[in-house]
Amino acid sequence: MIIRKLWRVLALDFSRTLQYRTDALLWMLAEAAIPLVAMFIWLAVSAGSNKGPTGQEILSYYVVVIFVKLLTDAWNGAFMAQDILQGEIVQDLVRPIPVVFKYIANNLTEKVIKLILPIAAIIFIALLKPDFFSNALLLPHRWLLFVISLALAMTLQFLIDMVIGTLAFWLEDVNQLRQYKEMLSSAASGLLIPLAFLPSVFVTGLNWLPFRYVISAPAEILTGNYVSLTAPSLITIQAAWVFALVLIIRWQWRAGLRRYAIPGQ
Amino acid sequence: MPIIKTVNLTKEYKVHEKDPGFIASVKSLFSRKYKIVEAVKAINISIDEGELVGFIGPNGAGKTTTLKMLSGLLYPTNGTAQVMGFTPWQRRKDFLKQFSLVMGQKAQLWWDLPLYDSLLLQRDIYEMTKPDFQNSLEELVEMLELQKFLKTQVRKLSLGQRMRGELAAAFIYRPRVLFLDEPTIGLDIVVQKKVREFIKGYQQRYGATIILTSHYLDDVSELCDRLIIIDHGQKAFDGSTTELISTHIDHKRIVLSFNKPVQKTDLSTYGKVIHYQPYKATIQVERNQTTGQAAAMLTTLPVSDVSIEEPSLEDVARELFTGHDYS
Ligand SMILES: Nc1ncnc2c1ncn2[C@@H]1O[C@H](COP(=O)(O)OP(=O)(O)OP(=O)(O)O)[C@@H](O)[C@H]1O
Ligand SMILES: [Mg+2]
Repeated sequence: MIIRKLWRVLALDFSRTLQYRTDALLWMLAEAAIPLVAMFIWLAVSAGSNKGPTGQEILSYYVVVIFVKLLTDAWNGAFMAQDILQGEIVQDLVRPIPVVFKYIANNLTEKVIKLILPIAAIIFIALLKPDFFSNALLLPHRWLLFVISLALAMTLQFLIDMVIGTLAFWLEDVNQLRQYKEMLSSAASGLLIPLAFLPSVFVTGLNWLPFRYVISAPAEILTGNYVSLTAPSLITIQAAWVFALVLIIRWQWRAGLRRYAIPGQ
Repeated sequence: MPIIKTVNLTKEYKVHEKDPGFIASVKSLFSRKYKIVEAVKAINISIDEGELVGFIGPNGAGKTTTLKMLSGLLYPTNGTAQVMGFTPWQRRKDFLKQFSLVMGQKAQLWWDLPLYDSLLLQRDIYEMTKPDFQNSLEELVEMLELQKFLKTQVRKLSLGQRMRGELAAAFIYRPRVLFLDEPTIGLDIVVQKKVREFIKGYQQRYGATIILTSHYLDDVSELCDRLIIIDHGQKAFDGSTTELISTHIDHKRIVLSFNKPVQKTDLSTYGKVIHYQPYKATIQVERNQTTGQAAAMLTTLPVSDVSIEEPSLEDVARELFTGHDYS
């Protein structure tokens, strides 16, 4: 029953989003642009020195990172904050369906639409230049771990954004906070700077933040180039973060709804 | 056993006060000033299954706030409420499945999609079987005349069409309890009438319990067996329209036509002159003196026609809300 509800919301959101396919294309390009630029910078850096990751390692890393980034991106916090601040959340609060469904559906359809182009590009390159990617990308047991880690990363990113979005019960300007999160996340997740290029003290610090478990972790697992932690610990810590954030969000919603004075009307 | 019951239901809003300007914004970061708005003050209501109750009251009286608490959207500051045996703000699934809230333009509908898609979503959310859905849909299409725009993108509908779509989404799963906050706002007379007939028809057919608020007193007097007047967050009246008029208005109006012109001063001895023209006048007299005064005027004045009128609900409302005489 619950699956059917989610499925229906998904189907509706998909047909809704299809009407915005041009926008979706632009979001995709905007989000892929930053890691692409970073990739070229680090390729140049690695070409000029014989220490650190090789050019091909960087290329593989960033191909995976762009995918992970597109797949893990989450805007649900911004939508949620807007719905709370404008009172739109009311329509979901009065229905026998978890409020979060709408945001999950929206998040998933966005992923599907954004992926169409990059997947086409990869197939194209793979057919044209089969030795472009390192063979290490094709090991089945890595893929299994990667898929698990990626699923956790998507959940984690969604939850981080939800924690911030839910703050709209208390704060009026959540988007500012979201922007700080985005900045911190770009710097600390392995998106701008692959962790392999960072001094180990920094990496130890970043291990304590959730961001590297969103971007770097799945990419490290698929490429096999681990920095400071290996697959079992990466996945365990991802799961621990997911668990902790779920608890935080449950508490936030209870407390938030208690004090919520629906604006408007 | 009433289906809706509140005991001393109270809601205070804490409103953050801030003077205009940047300096004031900075100051308010450190010391926040709050004002308490008492929106609903210890309201006691008891409604039986199958009743259609109208909430009326001036702007800011607390009607919407009360409905929000009964819908489980707001936690009360004090007091309790039971709707179908549930405490609304616990938002239990079995409660949510059986009730419906329509709040003006706060929409159930997905704007980018046709109305029909939103109705399908309702079907799944409320776990309806296909035949039940089909029956309900056909009924609504007919009653609300949805046929023409069922497959049109909602954002392209007119206000009246959208409101009918909204009602379809709210009624399709046959809720047992409905809260309709100004369901006819902004609609033209024809559509208003249609919507009213629809609401009444639903209540009679399914024995649903409905509370509706409206600023159109026609809505209320035509639809509701019972009125609850809310003013300044308090219940000012609870009863039928006729009771309201007879208890709150202690006078009637005598409308006279004359075949010869009459002086205003000759009329004022009988009662208060509300409206005066030499050949026509309206005089307000105390309820229990109506017949006596009418008879007296018939004998002394050149009356060609006379009628005695009850004040309208409109008059009553005006009097109650302003504390003044309705004249
Ligand atoms: N979200 C809110 N935050 C603070 N105060 C509010 C809020 N909503 C309503 N109020 C205040 O509570 C009081 C009651 O408002 P409410 O909306 O219940 O009135 P109403 O009877 O529905 O009025 P109307 O006929 O204008 O719709 C008003 O003084 C209003 O300013
Ligand atoms: Mg209102």
